[in-house]
Amino acid sequence: MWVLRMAWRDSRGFRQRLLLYTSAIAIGIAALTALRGLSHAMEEGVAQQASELLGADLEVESDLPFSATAEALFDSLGGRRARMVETLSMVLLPESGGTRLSEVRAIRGNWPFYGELRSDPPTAALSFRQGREALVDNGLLLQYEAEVGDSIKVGRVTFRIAGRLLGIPGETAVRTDVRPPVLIPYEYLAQTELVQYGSRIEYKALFRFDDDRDVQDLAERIKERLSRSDPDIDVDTARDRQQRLGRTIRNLDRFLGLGGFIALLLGAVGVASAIHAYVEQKLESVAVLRSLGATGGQALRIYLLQAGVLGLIGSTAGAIAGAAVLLTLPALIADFLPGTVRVSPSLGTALEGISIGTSIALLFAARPLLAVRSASPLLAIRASYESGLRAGDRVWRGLVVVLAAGGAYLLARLLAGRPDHALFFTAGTAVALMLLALSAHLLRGSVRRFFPRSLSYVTRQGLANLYRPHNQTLLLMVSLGLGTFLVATLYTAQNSVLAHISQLGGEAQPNVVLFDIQSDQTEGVRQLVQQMEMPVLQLVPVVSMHIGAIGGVPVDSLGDQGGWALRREYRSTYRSELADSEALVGGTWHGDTVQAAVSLEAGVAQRLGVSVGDSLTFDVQGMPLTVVVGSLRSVDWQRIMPNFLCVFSPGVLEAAPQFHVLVTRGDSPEARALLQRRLVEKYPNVSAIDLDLILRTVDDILDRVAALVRFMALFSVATGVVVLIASVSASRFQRVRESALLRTLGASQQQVQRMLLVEYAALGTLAGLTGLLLALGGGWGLARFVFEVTFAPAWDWLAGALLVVPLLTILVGLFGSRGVARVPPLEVLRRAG
Amino acid sequence: MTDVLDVRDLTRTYRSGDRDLTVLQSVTFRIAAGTTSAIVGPSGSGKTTLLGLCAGLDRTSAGTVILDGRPLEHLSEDERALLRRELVGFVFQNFQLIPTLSAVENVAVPLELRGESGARERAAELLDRVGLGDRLDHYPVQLSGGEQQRVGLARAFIHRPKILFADEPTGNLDADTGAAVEDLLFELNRETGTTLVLVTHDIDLAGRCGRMIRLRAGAVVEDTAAPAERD
Ligand SMILES: Nc1ncnc2c1ncn2[C@@H]1O[C@H](COP(=O)(O)OP(=O)(O)OP(=O)(O)O)[C@@H](O)[C@H]1O
Ligand SMILES: [Mg+2]
Repeated sequence: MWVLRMAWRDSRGFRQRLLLYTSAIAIGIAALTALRGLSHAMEEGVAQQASELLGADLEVESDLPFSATAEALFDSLGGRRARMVETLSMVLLPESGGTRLSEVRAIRGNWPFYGELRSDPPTAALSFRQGREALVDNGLLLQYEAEVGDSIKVGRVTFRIAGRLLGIPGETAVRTDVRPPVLIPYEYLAQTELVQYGSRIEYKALFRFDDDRDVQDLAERIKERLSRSDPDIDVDTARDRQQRLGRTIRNLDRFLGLGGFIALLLGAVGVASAIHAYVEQKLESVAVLRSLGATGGQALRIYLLQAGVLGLIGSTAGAIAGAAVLLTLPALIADFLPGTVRVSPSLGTALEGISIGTSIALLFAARPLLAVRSASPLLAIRASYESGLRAGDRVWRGLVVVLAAGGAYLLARLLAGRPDHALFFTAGTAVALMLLALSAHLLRGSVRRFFPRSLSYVTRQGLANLYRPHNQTLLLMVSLGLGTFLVATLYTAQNSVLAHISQLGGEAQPNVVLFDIQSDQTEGVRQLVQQMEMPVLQLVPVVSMHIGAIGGVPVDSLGDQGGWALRREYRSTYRSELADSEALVGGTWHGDTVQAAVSLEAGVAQRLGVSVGDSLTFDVQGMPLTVVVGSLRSVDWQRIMPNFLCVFSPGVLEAAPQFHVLVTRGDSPEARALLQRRLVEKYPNVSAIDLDLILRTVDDILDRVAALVRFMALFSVATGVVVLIASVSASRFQRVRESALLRTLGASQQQVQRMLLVEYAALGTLAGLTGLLLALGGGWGLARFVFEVTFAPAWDWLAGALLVVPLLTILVGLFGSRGVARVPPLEVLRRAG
Repeated sequence: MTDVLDVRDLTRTYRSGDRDLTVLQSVTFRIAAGTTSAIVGPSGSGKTTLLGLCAGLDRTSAGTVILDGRPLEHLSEDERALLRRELVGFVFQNFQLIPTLSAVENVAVPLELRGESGARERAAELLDRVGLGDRLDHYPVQLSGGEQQRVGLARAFIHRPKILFADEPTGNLDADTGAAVEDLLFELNRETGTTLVLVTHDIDLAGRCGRMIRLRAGAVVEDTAAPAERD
């Protein structure tokens, strides 16, 4: 009881400052509860919308038209049925002349059975099926400023645009950005002439069953029944889809959770260092209490209680703020998830956040608070202090540190859901923070080492403030630096990727690829390109195939060896010359020899476990073809140029179903657009990819990721700002006193003000520099190892950041110390005496 | 008469660097209940150190301090705190009021520590007694030095300690104020019958005590007590 009363009284005069510190925890908890709320909402959303993910209960998909056996089986299944044929194709918007590679879907039946196609006008989602009308992706229409009622040419057929397609169940915005969907009625598919020999088509049969049959079991049976007649098929159920989406969500969750975790840890470290400074001011009072007969335990409890209440208030405020933040989150992740996520703040999540925040605050405050327990009562009678810790206290201190680390791990465990990930989380964050602290330390050290003694008194004094006792320089540098680091790393990586892509299409490099050219169209397309005064850099045939057997052993009996390489579709070509982007690394190049040989890309050969001289049997759309591996090649994939895993010798594949790819270069975007428009008019089945499209798409996707990372960085920066404000106000009294002393000795207000300015400018610069230096490292790593592109930092942007971070620090710092230089010296000195 | 404080062969050494510095050397004396004693000596002679050891604020290097029959060296830090709570009062040279507590709250602390009820009322009475009845809710910064020390006296006496230690209680005050605080100290002492041990530079103040122990370089060089009393 006494402890409670003492804790309350003892906080007098410090409450405001303590509350400020609680906001460090509050920000972390806000991030945490918001993210936890979001992940609950996502899980619930996925569970509720499970059937909508597929729009059906069951989907059978094949690259080839379904066999008669399959059709008969489908007929016997009952339920409601729909059909869909999907192909990538160029579409033309005649009003604007715009062309774009799109995903054309011909639909028959009332798919989706669950959820709905969202369209504007809403009726268009159904009505387009009644006539020669199309439902077109809104993004595509916006790009070319097309309106409902305009027309769109798909293959050989021109459709009226019935409406804007706003959403398809189960599809993400990111996906529709890459390949904007265009929905047309099934009846017109044949007339479009998009379904041609060799072009890439997906056939889908979709079912909804209103009886309670076991769909999962049915899926297995269908696969088994059709394994002979339709070896190509894939059967997917809503539950499969849900599981896959669940994985995506967990990844997203973990990514976001990391943001909350870091913010909370930073807040906790902030609280720990605040308590440290606070306790040091309190030690004398503690000593007096102890000489009056208070036990060490009582003294400790007074301050633990304060820290606990601090944590409680902070986390409660955080939980409330988190609920507000939660409401803004769905917009942030909407593009990565199908459907809509409905969030509602829950009491459970709030309570969880509050208890987490309070415990973390207590755990991190405990270590500095131990000083209270072992404070010697001698301090009351003399200013000397016993620095020696007693053995028992050292054990306690170790225990508390272990507990705090354990707490951080448990938190990570809660967020990541798996022990190994949690360990990775905790260790990763610890390493990142340590790296930041280390570089901050080094930077600070070198400033001290090379201290510019020749500078003016004011500047030196300002810089020296960075080393004043109880300074929070390190903590500030870490938290501000971390925020800078996150944002800058991402930006640097993004810049590198974009620079890489644009350089791909640099001088004389190919930048337009035309594909799906039928054999009888090659001459016409070649002429068309040449008429446009564009070079034909490559014109190669492409044949789709699968691997049938290795060394006479059928793929089916090879088990899992080779994995993906064994089952994938190979788009191969045949020619007698090596391309520029290829180099021979084994065997002899087949050249013009008549023996049927294939040259494999070295990596894929290794995966398949074959070497020169082995025999390989390909399944070329039903026809077996056995060849000998004649040579191995390395391939430079970093070109906008069709590259091939398998290159056959001439004379083997000429008769196989095939299409052709033409590579060219157009110097201006206008020329490239014109080529595509002409092409669509004359050869509607021919598709084109150009550099602009790739650039735009990549940029778009990176932008969306950036929004997420910025959100995470925001919490770190906000924590940094709060810690900055708090530490400024913590040292305020000391500063006021110094300022008064200095002014008594003759310093002007302006000089005092300038000292503060120098201090915060130095702090901000160091923090910014720390973050940016590490970001250069991080960005380099991302560019080199993740994106595999040359590192190209955006120097102008980085320079800008180096300006903004100090500016922000100065603003906050000066705001926190306003008035310090104006308090009349006499008043201050009297108070101090 | 029984002894409240029994100091035997008390030695205290501090390690400074790699040398041992002996601050107190075989100090021995006994103090009977209800008496008043002054410890005097030049600056640095070990007076504060001695006082701290007697009150159990510090650990001895050798020798024994027996407070009210209990040898302190066998007690833990917390056990000594409990003992202080029961027996000891303290007056500090620099007052040492807790800045976040008001005058009345400062005075009430010893009673509250003992868990006694009515602490605030008794503290208010005592503050009234020391002439600060109208300053109950003032904080230390709002009081003058003399007023602060009067609050300090009230705090030292409130739980009627068996023994009261005062380290230069008037050292930070001007002569007039100091004299007033002195008078108050002895009055309260008489009223409560407390044993008083005070450290001072002020020979007049020392003269008001029944006994004077003089320290020099950590050793007792003079003790005015009767030989029987001395041991
Ligand atoms: N923790 C310590 N470590 C080392 N030496 C110490 C320590 N505490 C006190 N001393 C030394 O012990 C000696 C006695 O100090 P003490 O404070 O007891 O003297 P004092 O008689 O109270 O002096 P004053 O009249 O100036 O208050 C001094 O020389 C002091 O420097
Ligand atoms: Mg002294």
